[in-house]
Amino acid sequence: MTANLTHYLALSAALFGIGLYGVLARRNAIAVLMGIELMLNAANINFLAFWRFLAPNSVEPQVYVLVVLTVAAAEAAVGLAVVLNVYRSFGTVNLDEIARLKG
Amino acid sequence: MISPSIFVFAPLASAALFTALMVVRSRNVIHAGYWLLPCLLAVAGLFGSLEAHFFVVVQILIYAGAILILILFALMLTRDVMDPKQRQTTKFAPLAVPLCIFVGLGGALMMARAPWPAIQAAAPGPAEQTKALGLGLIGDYALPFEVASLILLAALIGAICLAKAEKEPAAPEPVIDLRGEIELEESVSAGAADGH
Amino acid sequence: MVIQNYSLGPIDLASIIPYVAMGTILGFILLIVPFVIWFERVVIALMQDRLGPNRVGPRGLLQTIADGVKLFFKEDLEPAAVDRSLYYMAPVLALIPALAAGAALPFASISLRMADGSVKSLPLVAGNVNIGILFILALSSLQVYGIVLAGWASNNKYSLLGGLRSSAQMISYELPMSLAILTGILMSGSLNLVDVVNSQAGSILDWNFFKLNPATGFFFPLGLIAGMIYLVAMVAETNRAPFDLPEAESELIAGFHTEYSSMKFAMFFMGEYASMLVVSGIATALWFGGWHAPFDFVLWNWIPGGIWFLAKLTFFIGVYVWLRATLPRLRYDALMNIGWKRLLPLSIVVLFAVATVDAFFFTKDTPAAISAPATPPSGTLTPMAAPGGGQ
Repeated sequence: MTANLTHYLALSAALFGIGLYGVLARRNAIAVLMGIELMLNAANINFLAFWRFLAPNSVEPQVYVLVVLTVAAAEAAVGLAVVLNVYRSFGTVNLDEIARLKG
Repeated sequence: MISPSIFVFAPLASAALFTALMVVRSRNVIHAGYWLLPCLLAVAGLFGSLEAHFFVVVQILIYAGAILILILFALMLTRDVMDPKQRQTTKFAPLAVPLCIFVGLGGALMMARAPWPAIQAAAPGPAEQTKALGLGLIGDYALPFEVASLILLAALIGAICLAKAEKEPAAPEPVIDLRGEIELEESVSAGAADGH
Repeated sequence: MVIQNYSLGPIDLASIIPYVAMGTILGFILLIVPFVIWFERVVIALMQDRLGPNRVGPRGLLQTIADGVKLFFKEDLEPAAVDRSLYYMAPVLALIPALAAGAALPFASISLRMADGSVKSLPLVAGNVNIGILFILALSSLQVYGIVLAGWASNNKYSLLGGLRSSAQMISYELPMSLAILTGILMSGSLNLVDVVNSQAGSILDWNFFKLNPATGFFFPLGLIAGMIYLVAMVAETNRAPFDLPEAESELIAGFHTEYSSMKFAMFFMGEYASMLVVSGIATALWFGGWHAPFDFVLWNWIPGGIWFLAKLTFFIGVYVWLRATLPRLRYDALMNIGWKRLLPLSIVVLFAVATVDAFFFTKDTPAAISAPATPPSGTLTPMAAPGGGQ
């Protein structure tokens, strides 16, 4: 029994769905960021599964995984800086309350 | 090895999905952060089962070693505002569940039904992979590489600006729990009143 | 020294070497820690003009073992307000990455005479991974979890401060450390630690720390600077004096392990010393020639490489102890300033300089794929692959 491309793609779709739930449903801004990390991980699994099963001699998917990792790192740094600034000025990281304070 | 064994894939996949569910479902957000660690490691394991050895290490190094630490750091700095006993989900959560099930299952089904070409080729060894990736980054794929470094630079500057901005306006009000002191004062004044 | 490759049916000596190495490195790290602690106490006592441990065993040699037995039988306290699952997981997470990182550390090389008469040199390493140094870096970046987790789970202000300090410190010093390691990799031309060590064979002049052999590479002051950056960052990464702010006893009681007692405390202790041994091992392999002797000398050529490795390791442990006995603890802002404003720019400049020197003078093999895209041998990746290529 071997795992094939479909298994990995299904897994990645499921992981993406879970991450999406984290983004849509969590109240804590940092928990939302964690959901985004899950979604990016799902994308990386997809890239590497395609690389392994469809084009093992191409370097292109790997390059894009590296780009995704870079973006994830940048997103985490900037996102957390924003969240900490929000925390400083609003005293909360609860997305509901931050939304209510506008205008 | 042409394809990874299902006995490697299944435990890793179920671990990744279970820990991911715990990440989004844990009431205590610090626990959610710590569930992310085994999740990232399981994904690293999945990369390993795909023979992408370099990315196993990069996943641990960047995700587990740097990004997650940053997230935990932020969680600890904001620890006093999200009580685990509060509701942890927004009012959209009931809507989000079917949507996410739809996206997850629909995506999985769509991916499964798509006619992927069946190619059975061995992956190159880890040394060749890493070498080819390095050559690719300074050769054909120099543009994505440069774009990625530009993004990093922008993020660097942006994060510094955001961190510095808090010094410009009036000093932010420190969050101090005064309850203990107020109680103390009350008891002191009560005692003084008794004395008189 | 050449050993005959004995074989017993299908199993020969060469095939069990990784397992031998695995057992050796694990046993070594676990068993040597008590003696490292004894060594530290005795040397610090000497430097401070005191006697140090001298009651249990000859010259107090068994003192740490007695301490270990005492810790083992102590009551295991669990404070009421701890976050239980995380509280119990923290000591485990502090110890395991340090032990696992040892798996990719080559510490000796043995020569085997194969059945056909040829002599094969095999490294003693549990897992000879191609990207060994990255593997070790990845695992050492996991080490911070044990400390952060302990700081959080203890539900104690001092512990939390210790944990926060530690995560900031380890993230900050990981950057100069990684860049210094990259410099070393660049000088050796391989991510595989065995190749890195073998590239430093010869004499002391070939070690990456000095590297002034015009034939193979002349990076003299650059290797020295990068090596020093690594050494400073390595002390900071292991939370040792003068960078021991996470457990600064004058302000934080005991920092992140304030609430830990008995064997859980002992595991933190073990983890700290195990990671000291591992980072010292990396320093030896990456900068100080691994198991190679300083120079060719008739009188000591019979000494096996493992002994040289051990001697260099002992030197670094001695440096750790020396630093602890002589330097006061840094202030927190000074710590961050050194990491971000001094070490990081310096390590970037050194990396760039080494890359420049390497590209202009010592490039051994021009990558064929850049200059002329020749047909690659089958089974290798090519950056020139057409979209969806390789089929």
